[in-house]
Amino acid sequence: MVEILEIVITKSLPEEAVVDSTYIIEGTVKAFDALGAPPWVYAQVRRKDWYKPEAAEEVSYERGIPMPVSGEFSIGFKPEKEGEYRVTIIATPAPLALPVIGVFPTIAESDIMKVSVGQKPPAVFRFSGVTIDGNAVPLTNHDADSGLLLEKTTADHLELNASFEWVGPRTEATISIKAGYKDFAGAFSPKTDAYTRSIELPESPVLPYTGSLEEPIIVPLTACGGLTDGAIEIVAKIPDMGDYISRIWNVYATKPPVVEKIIAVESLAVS
Amino acid sequence: MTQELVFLVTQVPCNATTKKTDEHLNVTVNFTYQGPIATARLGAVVTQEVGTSEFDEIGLTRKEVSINLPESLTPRTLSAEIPSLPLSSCEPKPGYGLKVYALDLDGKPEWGCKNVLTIESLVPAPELTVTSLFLS
Repeated sequence: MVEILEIVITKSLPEEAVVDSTYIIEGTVKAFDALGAPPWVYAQVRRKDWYKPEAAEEVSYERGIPMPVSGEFSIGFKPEKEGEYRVTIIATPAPLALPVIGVFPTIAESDIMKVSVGQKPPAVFRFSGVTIDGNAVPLTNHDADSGLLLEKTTADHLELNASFEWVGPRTEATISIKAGYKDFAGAFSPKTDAYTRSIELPESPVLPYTGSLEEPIIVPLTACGGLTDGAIEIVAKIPDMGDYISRIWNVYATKPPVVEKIIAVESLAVS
Repeated sequence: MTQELVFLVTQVPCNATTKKTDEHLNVTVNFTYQGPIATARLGAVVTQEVGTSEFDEIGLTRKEVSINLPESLTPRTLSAEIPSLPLSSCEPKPGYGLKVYALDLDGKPEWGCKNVLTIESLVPAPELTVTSLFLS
């Protein structure tokens, strides 16, 4: 085959992928000489099960349309089955709809991208930290003792931001925060309603996505008077998953510390 | 200054004085205070030694005043006057003591001093003076 075009892949596929996730292939296709508009490009997707012979592989095509001048293109690759895939970008002048029996004639071909596609890991969410009035409290577990005991009054508020990690499909979730205290049984007892923000969790099938609230949540402490061990509870509600709950202890105190009154008579004088 | 704890009464220095039973005793208390702003009571009472009790109170001499304590993070020197302790219930004799105490603070601390007050009678003690002798 005599190639009169050059295909350059600028964003290749990962070596490992998961089913039902979309991966974007980006690149450019350029003519060596001025031959007019660039042709169509296709992602030729070949898949075979490891135990089947070469002839038994499945072949499909995904079409991309290069930009008229720059030749830039992008093609989505969304594997629906597990298996070993070989993806090649090919160019053809054939103005066909998505072909089912092949592309002809092929006038350029990219290098093969090998992709191993497996099942999606289960969706996982966790809070990785919380910032309270500018004080960062890391969360290696669900709960943490911040030890901050910020001096507050019932006229004050807490300014809270939460950072989190996410592995899973794109979805929307909410993060709610309540202020309260640690009761005699060691459990969180709320004193305020939940202050809630919606967040969008992007598709992140393999690598954990790290995010945080765009704006902090303000929790007024009007109903939190007389506390020496104020705590907060952060709850993430994600569709089709159980709530993820973190509690941070010893965050604030709205009761002034007990100050000892010490009187000492030094001497007496009588008259 | 050395302070001695006697039956939970901290002994502090005090000058001595003599009073008659129809007079009153004025007490100046020099003390330090550390803590938040507070109102407390300061009391004084004349005492005597009775048996093993070194500070047995003579209740009718008791007097209390209210004092305002300013906020202070470190011990701050202050003084208070407890005026006009009545002494009419005291028998004329020497050896009386004095006890002061604070109320409305943490606990009831007490301070005292012994043998600082002598009470004299209004009626002069009978006194016989031989001025001369005559022989016959």
